[in-house]
Amino acid sequence: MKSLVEKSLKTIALAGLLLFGGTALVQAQNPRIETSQLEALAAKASQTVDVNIDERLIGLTAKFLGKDPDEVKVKEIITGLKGIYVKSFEFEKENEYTSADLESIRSQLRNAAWNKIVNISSKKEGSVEVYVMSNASKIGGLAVLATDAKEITVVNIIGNVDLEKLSELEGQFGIPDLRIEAKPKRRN
Amino acid sequence: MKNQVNDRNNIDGDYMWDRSGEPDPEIQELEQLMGTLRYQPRALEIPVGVGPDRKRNPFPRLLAIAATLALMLLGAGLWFRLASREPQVAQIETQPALVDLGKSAVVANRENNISEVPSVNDDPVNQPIAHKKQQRSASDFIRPARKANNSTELAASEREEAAAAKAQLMLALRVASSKLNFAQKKAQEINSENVSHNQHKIG
Repeated sequence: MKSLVEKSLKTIALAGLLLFGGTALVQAQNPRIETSQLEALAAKASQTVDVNIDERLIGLTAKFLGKDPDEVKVKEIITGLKGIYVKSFEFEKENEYTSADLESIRSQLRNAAWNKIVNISSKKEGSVEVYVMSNASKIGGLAVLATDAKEITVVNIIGNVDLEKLSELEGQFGIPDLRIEAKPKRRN
Repeated sequence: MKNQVNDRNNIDGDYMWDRSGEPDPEIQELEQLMGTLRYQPRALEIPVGVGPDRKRNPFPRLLAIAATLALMLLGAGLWFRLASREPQVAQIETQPALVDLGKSAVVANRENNISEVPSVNDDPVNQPIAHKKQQRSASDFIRPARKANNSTELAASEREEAAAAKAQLMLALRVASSKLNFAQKKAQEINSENVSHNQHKIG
């Protein structure tokens, strides 16, 4: 009788561990970045952008996009996306945020499922890190962490996003060109 | 030989029964031989190594308890998650504005004596079954409905929501695009710097 109880307890333990392992694996491959830890910065920020568009809203918006070439382009980009989340804080002064604030985001992106494809770091112009989560040959998610002395921006797009099309979008369809261009090189 | 058999038959059966009659030497001999194996009323002695291990490792039991608790927590978490999604589904399913729009269209129709009004929403995409049923019940009053153009297909609330979502979407795309552009341009700049540096070295 005792051995039966022990066996069943062991089986439950094993099942629990497997279930935990499975859940952890699923969590590890979830392209959604949790940004709620940055909420505290909203009080210090002079400007905050918080966009949360889930799959349903993307579908609803797609229905409103017409046959205009620019709108078609946007529709192409958002088709197949499951979520677009942007959180951006702009501060009036420098050093309003700490590296600990960024660590909450970076720790999620350090997961093996994410691949850092671009890492630009500049003291003057800030840094941009672009991460991609790939499922087989498709992109399952995109994360951009852009930081400046006075700004933090986290972009998280879930689904198969076309990076080329998305980067081409600036300056089109009411999306102003922010003219973030490379500064001319100094010639000695 | 025959006499011996007769003698054996004559042995008093009481010895076999309660050892009171004349004893048979053969039986006595057998008794002595097998006597060592007779039942002895004494307690069973269990060897030291066989007894229950009192110093058992509590880890498997604790692990099992932890796993059970974890399963319960996981189940509760899933339940809460599903429960939190339910209102969203209900919201989509009921769509009161859509039904109200249908009813108001019927009222306006009756007042103006118009036999045909544009259908509230003929787009089958993203419409739950319950929603369709409600629409059908409203359109039962309307009688032959005609397919309207795209702008009148969606309910007013849905349209407002979509317009807000569109604005948000554009903002999100603008931010994402600008950051990606910046990264792309900086990467290209670094790349071209490296190329020119290498060419300078070779030259």
